[in-house]
Amino acid sequence: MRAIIEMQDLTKYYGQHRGVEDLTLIIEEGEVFGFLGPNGAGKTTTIRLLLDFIRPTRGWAKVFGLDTREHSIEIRRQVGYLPGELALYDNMRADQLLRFFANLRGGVDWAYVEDLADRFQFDMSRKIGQFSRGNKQKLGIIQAFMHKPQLLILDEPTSGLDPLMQQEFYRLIDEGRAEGRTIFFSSHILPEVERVCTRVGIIRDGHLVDVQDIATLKQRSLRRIEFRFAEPIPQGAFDHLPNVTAAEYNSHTVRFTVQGQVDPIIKAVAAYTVEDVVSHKVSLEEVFMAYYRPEPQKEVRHA
Amino acid sequence: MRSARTLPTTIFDKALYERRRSLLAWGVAIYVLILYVGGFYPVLAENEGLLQMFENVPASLRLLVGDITTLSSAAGFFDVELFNFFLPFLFAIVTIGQGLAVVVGEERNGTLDILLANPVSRTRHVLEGAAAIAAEACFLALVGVAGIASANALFDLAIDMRHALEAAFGLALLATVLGYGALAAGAWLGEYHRTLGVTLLFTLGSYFIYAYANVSEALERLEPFSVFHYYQSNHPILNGLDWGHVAVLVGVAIALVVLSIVGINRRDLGVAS
Repeated sequence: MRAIIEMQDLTKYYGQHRGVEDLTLIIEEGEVFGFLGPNGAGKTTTIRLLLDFIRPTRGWAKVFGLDTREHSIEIRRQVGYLPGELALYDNMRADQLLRFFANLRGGVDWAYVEDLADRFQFDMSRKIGQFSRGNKQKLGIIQAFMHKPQLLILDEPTSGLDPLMQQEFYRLIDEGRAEGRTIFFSSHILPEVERVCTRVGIIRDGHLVDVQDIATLKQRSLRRIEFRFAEPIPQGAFDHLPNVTAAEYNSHTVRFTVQGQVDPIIKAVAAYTVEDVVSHKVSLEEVFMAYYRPEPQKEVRHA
Repeated sequence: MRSARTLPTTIFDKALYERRRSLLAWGVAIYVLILYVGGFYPVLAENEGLLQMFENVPASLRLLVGDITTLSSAAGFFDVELFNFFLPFLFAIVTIGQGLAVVVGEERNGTLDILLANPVSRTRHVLEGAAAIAAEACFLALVGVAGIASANALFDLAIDMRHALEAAFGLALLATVLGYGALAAGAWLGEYHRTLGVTLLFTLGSYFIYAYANVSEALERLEPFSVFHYYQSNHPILNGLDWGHVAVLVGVAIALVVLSIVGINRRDLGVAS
């Protein structure tokens, strides 16, 4: 697999203000990579570094193996970009804007642009200034996809879209993935990331705190199991079991929080008469929330 | 089937396209102003008392309206009433507006990101913006020439059209330089209001150095640093252009574009304020 995006110790300071710090990450061809983090974590800074709108304070980034500072034009030729805070030329019509961009790029198939507009039920003949936020977002999506780029860099792409259009957007992502495009996708909407991404990176306070396959995350995610027994269970009876991260005893019932295999618990509780069992997975959202919460003790950094 | 080619297709014509209505409005205003001033001259020429009054304006007050060399010709009247102050500032409002729009305007509106997500270099963006500024100045200069030709025809002013063409060219050149001042300031500063401030300082500073050079020795020494000096000190509508002055203005224009390119390429975009 070819690395499409590489970052090495990528760091950006705005004066004294921290943007991102020491990001090291490789995203390979065909990945749908979710870049997840709360507002102000550094998602947009990272994206703007990749497009050479801003320059790293330290470290470097490459896209398609090309340095983002040296070869920005070649990179941008093959990138579709949707900004997070989408601002467009309000006094142009949507089709004028799309033709303008298509002309700057060259080689855009206008039939495909019309096809995209149809899919998003988007009226291109209207002035951009008259559009609602959702319609502007559709226009942003169309201009990002219209030249069928190898890499899509999308900063919170579904903001402002209604649920129907969100579904259409997810289909577009799925198609892009099937066609081997790489998608780098920032979001703070967790179900969305779970729905479309193959891998996620979690950024908080400018640091990449974890990078995981969605499948692994789901597997690793917590499960809650509650047993009701025929007899009262003594406190601490199951505390020694592997994979149990917490156990609450309440006379006839015990609630376990489990990470990983549940087999040891099943084996252990079989020694008692089980009357009822309820099991549910903790949502991925709860897993992410654990990442989002600020650390109890803030480390002191010396810049 | 492909639909008809729609404007705009390049950054250059996008810049013009976005400002087409205001450009047209300024063009009309300049044309009407020239006709108005042209229509006033015969009234003045026929009225000895009024002419005397104009020529007897106290020296200190004269400085404000410029060097009243001769009101015995319409060209002299145009020199004082139009080319000395009104036309340069009307032209400059347009070109400075465009000079601000190209970089800091796009940054303030947040549109520079999506524009430069296209495979367009910052250098090309600045160059096409610079071309748009010059094109707007030339358009207004043509309007100016048309205005003078119309005034000649309507009021028998007998202004030398060759001088009119040269003066309009000089005006376009000055306005282009002032627009490039805004472009360069924006390319380096990246913040709209600071850029506007620096641009106004450059423009008004240049003007007042030139306008008051006669009364102050200090300002007279600074005169070579004023772009207005190279634009107006030869009074092109009366005497034609001093091509040495033209060369200086062309040189300043090129230097400002180079400065803009260096500035835009060395900084972070869209991070000010």
